[in-house]
Amino acid sequence: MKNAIEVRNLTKSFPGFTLNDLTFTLPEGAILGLIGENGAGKSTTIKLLLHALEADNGSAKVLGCDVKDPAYSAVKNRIGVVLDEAYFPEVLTARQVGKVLRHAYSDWQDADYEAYLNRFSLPDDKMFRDYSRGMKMKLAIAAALSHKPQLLILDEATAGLDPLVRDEIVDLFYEFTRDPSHSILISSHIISDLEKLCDYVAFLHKGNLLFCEEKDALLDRYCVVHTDEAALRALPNSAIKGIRKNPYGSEILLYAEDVPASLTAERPTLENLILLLSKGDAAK
Amino acid sequence: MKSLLLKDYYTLKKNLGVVLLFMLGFCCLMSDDLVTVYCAFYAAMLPVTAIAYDERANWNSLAVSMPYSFRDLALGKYLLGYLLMPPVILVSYVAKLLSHYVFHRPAVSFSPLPIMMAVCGAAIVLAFILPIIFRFGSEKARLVYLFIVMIVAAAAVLFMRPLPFNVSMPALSSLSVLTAILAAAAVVLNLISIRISTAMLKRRFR
Repeated sequence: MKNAIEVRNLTKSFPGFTLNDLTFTLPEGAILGLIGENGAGKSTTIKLLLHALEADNGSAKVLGCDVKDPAYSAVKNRIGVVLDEAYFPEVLTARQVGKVLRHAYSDWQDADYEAYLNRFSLPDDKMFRDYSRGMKMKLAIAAALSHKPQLLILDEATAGLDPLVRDEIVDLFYEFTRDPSHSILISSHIISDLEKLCDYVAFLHKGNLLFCEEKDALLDRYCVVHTDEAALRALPNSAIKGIRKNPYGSEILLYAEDVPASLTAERPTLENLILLLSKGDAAK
Repeated sequence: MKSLLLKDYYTLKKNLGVVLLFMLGFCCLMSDDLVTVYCAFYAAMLPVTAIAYDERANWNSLAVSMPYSFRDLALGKYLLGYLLMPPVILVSYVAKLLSHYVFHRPAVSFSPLPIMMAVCGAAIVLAFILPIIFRFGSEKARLVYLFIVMIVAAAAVLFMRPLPFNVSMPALSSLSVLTAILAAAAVVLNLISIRISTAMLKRRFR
């Protein structure tokens, strides 16, 4: 199986923060969700993948090309990128954005762009600055999808959007991955979106990659138990992978095989798993 | 590159219309070779305005994810400056002709040497200002630009106006030599400047 993204021991240091020894792959045709708190290193990872930042160590290959290779600039024709904001000049209209991008991308499709503008009901003669946030992000997504990309890189692309718009956009990403050669790397705070969308999940915490694996296998491996103080004390410390205390008891994350028969366990949601793992790390 | 220039054209379009009108009025009031110098320098300042728009939109964050190199992003602004100089200078001549026929100002002499000198001077200013802008941003760089323009304007006055004290103007042959030197300097400085700007832009990102 080919990989859309291959990252090996990628490291980047800034004063006060290090993205440390990142290694993961995104197989072609799959969707990988990059999860992490603010400042965990998600945007840094994406900038390294786009070669907007230079890594201190390690390597990254996107669509088979090393990001340091001068040929990578041409490979970007096959990558659609949506960042946390749509950074188009504010006086441009959607029509002008289309005309500009037609000359930027070798495989720009006017008809696709037009179709996305219609689908999103985006007026093509209104200045970008007069768009709502939802419209701006839709325009960025329309632009990212209109040059026949094989890989979408989305950095908090759904942040700040209302649930209806988010749902519409998540559906669009599903459509995109119907083609088995299409892949998506998406970073988001909104874990519920990622849970719906992703095949793989990578969890970045304070610059370290805690895991990157198949979502279903990950959720199968863990269980959550709700228990009181006495039952909590009976559990060996090493078995507890995460814990969240509340006035009514504790919510504990355990490996499925470590759950005592006396306790009722449930499959965690991705959001719960991430929260509990983060708390587990904080407890350490 | 065409897409970057088109983007800058759309960004500056409204701005450009107002400015050209303003310059037309300015040229009608001043029938002088200095007008050409002012126009060339104004054209050289337009990339600064384009960069300011880019910074406001955070355009470069998106542009680095597109099939552009840092060199493309830097070079685009130089090309914008070079491409804007001919139409802006043309406007100055149209205005001079208008001022001659409508306001009966002195006849316009179309002399290529002052134009060449003005263009080279403006290109040299561009070579100095753009690396500073790419390193520090347009706000800080505007001050540096004003300072450079004042120096160059003073130099232009020295060469193009009769002086009250006893300094003779250079002969035509000397002006030709000076223009050739300026042109060579403009080419060399711009080639160096493009490399520095590319490095500055990279450094700002990385």
